[in-house]
Amino acid sequence: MESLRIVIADDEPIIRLDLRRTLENMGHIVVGEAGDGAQAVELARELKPDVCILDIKMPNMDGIDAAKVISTEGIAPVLLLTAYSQRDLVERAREAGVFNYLVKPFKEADLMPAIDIAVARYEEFMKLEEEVASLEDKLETRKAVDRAKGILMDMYGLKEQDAFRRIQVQSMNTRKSMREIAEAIIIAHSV
Amino acid sequence: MRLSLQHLLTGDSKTSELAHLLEKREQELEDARARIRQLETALEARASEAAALRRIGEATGQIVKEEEILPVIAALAIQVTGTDSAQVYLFNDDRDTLILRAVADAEAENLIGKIRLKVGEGITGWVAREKQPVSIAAEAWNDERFKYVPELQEERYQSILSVPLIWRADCIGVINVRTQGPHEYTKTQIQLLSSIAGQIAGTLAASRQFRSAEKRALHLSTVAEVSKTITSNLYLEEILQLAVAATAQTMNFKVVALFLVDEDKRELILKAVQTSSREYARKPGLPLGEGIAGQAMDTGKVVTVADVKKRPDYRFTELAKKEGLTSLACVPLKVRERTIGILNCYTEKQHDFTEDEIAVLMTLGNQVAVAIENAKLMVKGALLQEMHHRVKNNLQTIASLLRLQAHYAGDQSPVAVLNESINRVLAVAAVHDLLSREDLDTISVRKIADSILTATAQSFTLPNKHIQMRVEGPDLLLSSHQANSVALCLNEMVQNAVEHGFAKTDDGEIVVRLNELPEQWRLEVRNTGDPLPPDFDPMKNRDLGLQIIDTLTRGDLNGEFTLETDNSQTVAAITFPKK
Repeated sequence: MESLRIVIADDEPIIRLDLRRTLENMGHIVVGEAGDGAQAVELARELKPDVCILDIKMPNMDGIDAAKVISTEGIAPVLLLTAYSQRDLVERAREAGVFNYLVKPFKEADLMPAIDIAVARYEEFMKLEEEVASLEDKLETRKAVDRAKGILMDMYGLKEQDAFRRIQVQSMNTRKSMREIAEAIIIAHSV
Repeated sequence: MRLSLQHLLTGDSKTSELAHLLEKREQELEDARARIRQLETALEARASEAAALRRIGEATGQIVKEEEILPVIAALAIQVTGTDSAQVYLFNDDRDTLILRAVADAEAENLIGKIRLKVGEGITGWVAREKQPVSIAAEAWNDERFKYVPELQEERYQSILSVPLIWRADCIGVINVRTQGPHEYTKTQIQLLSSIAGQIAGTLAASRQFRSAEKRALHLSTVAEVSKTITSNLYLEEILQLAVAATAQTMNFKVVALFLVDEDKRELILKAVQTSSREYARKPGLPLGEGIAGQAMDTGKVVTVADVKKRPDYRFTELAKKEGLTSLACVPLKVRERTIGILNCYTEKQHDFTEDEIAVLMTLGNQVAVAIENAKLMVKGALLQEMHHRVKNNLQTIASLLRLQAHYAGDQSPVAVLNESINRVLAVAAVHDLLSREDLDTISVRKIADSILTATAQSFTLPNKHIQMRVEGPDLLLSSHQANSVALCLNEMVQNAVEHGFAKTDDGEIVVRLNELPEQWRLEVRNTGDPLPPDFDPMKNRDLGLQIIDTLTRGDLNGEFTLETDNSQTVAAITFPKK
């Protein structure tokens, strides 16, 4: 298993010490230790770890709020440690984009799979995000190309296939995407 | 014919006898006619009485409000008795004053509700007291029972017929009729007015019963309202305040005070009061089982007192006089079969609590009691949640300590490893023990130190070692979080002092000393045992105890750990800033 760079946050130094030793024993590297949520967010931004392990109940900013920031900024997957096991907290955690959680007191044996799952889910999530972005781009391209084709057909009395071919050729010649060419045609036409 | 009779009379004796007989017959005839007239009048009276009663029945059958019935009755009374004016007086709720409630006299209408007569006062008052009618034909103002009330302008009336309104042997009011000129009231008229009065009394009683049913419905909605208000709130203090305020307002009490049982002090403690009186709000606790409250608690029933100022076992007579408190209903607050307190409801004027009112108060008391219990349970629930969280967090700390110990164990004997762990757990436990014993969320460092030294003395010291241990210096109060860290550090420092300081040396002392510096606290553990190895550097040591001290001092207390030799004593110390 690959060695992960991890930021940990808990307001109890003893628990942090334990967490660090346990994670290091597993072959991971603890790159940063925080005693509260705000510090955890700062360390995550600065160190860009592979995983953040956060306690929920911490001063300044609690673990869930910190998780929300780390998650929306797309920094790393967050694994929460909690002494609570209530439903509403789990709900809040899910909304904050937490990828897994462990209930205290945690077992050494549970830590590894919990991290693995958080990382795996995060990767899956990122892949999906990418896919969504690429699909969105494809959709936009198609819309733009269709409009541009229409413009060319009107202006030069071309058949649809020939209009498409022109955009394609232009794209290859200028080394720009078809979407860019199509958008340029649309802008030029509207001026 | 008379002439011929005269003529005969002057004749012989036989004719005179005949004449006498005739005259007698004549007389008898005259009497019979009179009787017939009398019977006719009586019949007429009966007929008009029957008509009047029928009309009253009709009127009262539809109307249930006193203010609507009474004028109708007054008008009817005039009509059937052929008099000039009529007044209806009814008793107030306290049954000591008659109040003018209706008149059949346009000039006196503005006096309705304003004329008040005590029982026995004036002719009307006399009638009410004696429950007997009075009739005076003329110059009623000369009667010795007469009381002159200027507003009534009674000089306008010569005669009076005053009849009590009797319902089930109780007088509920008086009806009067008057004439301007002198008027001899016949037996028939008196009877007529009396039967009207009986009818009215019955009707009024029925209407009062209706009103009391209505009032009961209102009381029930009061209970519903109060209980809705108090159960919609979760905070005990607010519930108590709402309960007294709502009770006082909806039932019109001068003062409402709520006391709850304090089992430890064996007292009822004033928890909430609805009053403008500061003095009442400072009322001291009541010893359990004594006085009126004791009676209410023992019997579990509402205890009423007509006038607290006259009760020898009422403890606050002076206060009651000053605040104008008279009647009291002491309501037990019962949950299941347990009485958790009382609700004292005072009225300003003397008040006879009706069975209905007592029933309402009892229900109200039960509602308040349940709301209080619920709130207490809610608080316990929230507390339990918090405790649950703390316990789990502490279990995590202990699990972490044990896991760390497992990483660091090395070649230590299992017994030594376990002993070390036990002492760490005990140090955490000491903080909890102190937390649970004291109400506050702050913990004395001195007490932690005492507890750690006691535990150490019991577990570590071997029979041939004589180590004196004591705590010196001022005390310091810490939050529970900081106290946990200090306890764990102190434990490690003391364990190290015993383990390393007295490995060779057998006699000596360990002193825990708290020093107050200008900006910082310094907690030292000194020992007079073996000196430190000459080139000892705690930061390079891989000992778990030192790791724990270092981690906690820097990570939690923002402080510093030092280990040095001072005056041939080994001194381990943590220094951390004052908040």
